[in-house]
Amino acid sequence: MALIRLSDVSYTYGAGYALQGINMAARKGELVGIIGPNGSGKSTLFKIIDGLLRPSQGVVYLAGLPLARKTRKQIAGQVAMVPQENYFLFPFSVKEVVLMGRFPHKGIFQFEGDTDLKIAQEAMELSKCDHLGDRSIHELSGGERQRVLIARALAQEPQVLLMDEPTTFLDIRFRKEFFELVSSLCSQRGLCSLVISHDIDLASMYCHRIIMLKEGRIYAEGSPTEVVTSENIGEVFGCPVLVDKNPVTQTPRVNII
Amino acid sequence: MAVSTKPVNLIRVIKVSGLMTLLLLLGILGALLLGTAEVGFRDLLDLLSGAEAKDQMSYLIIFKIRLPRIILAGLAGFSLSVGGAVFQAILRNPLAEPFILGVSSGAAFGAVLGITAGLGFGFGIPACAFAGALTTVAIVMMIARRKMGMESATTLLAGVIVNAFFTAIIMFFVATSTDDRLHTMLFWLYGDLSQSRMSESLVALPVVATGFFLLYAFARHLNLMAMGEEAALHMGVDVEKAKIYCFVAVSLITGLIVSFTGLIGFVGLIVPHILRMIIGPDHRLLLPASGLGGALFLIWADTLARTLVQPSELPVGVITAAMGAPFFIYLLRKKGGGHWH
Repeated sequence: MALIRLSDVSYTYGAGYALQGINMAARKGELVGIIGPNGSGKSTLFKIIDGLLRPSQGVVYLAGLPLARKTRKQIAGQVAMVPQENYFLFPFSVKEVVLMGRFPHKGIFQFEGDTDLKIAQEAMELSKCDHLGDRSIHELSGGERQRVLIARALAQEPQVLLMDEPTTFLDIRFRKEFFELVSSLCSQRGLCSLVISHDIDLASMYCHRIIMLKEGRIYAEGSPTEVVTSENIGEVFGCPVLVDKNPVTQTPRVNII
Repeated sequence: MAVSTKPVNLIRVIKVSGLMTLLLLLGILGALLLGTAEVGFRDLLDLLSGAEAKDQMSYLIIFKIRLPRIILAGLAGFSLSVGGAVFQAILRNPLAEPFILGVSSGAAFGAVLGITAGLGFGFGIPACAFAGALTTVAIVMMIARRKMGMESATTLLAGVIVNAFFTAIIMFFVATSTDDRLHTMLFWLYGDLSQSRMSESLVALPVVATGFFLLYAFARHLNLMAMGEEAALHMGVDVEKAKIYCFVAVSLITGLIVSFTGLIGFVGLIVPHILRMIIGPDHRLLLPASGLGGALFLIWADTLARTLVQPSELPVGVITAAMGAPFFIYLLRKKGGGHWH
């Protein structure tokens, strides 16, 4: 069953369309890459899926139910977001930051209990940041912070994980580790993950499916080999490229020419 | 950097609040002993334990003069500090304090109008100040309100601009007023607790208690909102609702307090910062600790204000700023201001 389904979704922004006639779905255990040039509507799409923006037209279904009927808290219990970066005003410890992910599951005046601590611990182990638990979030490197943000998102116990250019500030080793982690979360935990990425090569390596956006519409959709072609990339990004195969993984590789 | 290694739980909140309450009670006891007239420790204990007063004078000094003043100072310090902690998190700005939305200038404007009209300190001026505070906050919130909700930078800016406008009007009144009224105005503008009466505390107490209860319900929201509004939204916080509730609650309690005490600066700025450095940033712990710490701070600032230049007296705002500023600079230098990035 599709966990996320968008049916003929459009979003108007002032005069023009930010998104137009989007039909898409993502299943349990699936890792879907969203690619497209700047301003093609990728982030707007995520805001619509997470209920931060209401579609001007069309309906978003989350696990079969219309998203519009859910409260913020209910949505956050099902959909979590890993941002590109987060801004940390106060020196919370890593464990405290991860425990914040428990917010949608707690009532007013309720403190986190043993169950929450266990869930947070598990989330930190999964994203390999449990050894950082007592450190201040301010002392961490970019790669470590990103893993904490994943742990925080996992602590929400979501069914859907959204990631908006999560690897932008990471070096190549952390980028690879990031995609490997997300890929294993999808296959082992049945998480439905959508990732916006400008790293088309890595997305092609790990994603089951790629959705390519151009000017607010879906331009192409399918397996990485079907979508990531010289013609598609050249047309959508307006930049001539040669796509060949990565000699080791046999997945599409984009060469700028 | 003091980072709490253990996540906050109810037991820790009770422990820290209990310890702070104990300190506060000791502080109150000490403040009761100090003053122009001598009251011995024995006499004080006898009086407090409800024994028959041996000496009518001591009884009057303790219960009619010092205690009302200490209690109002405590309530004022409590409210201003909690307000500061809340606004620093919501506006994600280290300089945010409870007056940021125009509570102070609005209240001062109301009070100055009241003084000019010849109203008394009894009820007329506080009523004018309270009305002025709430009107100004409403104006600032209307200016800052956008289609997408209230944005922090716009809110701050709207507050600053409205404050500047009302300050200009106040200066006009101060500049054109006659001598005896000028003294009243200035005392009010610097913050003054010498006119405290028990009846004021009795009005303030339930309001402050209700306001704190409401704000504490949003303590976890504040933790998340300090991470940025979008992050908080993604984690399930209804940010707009939380902001409006907090703004209204803080404005109500500080507006009411200011109407009784005049403008007391620095408490709301400095106390939450100090406590954050000691006990960590979690608002479930920070809000009660800030409140109790603020109460202790202001009670002692006022004790100094009434004892330093005996038999004369200073406005308490002079002490809070004079003590607060150097201490704050010391802390900033020592800690490098590390947690504000």
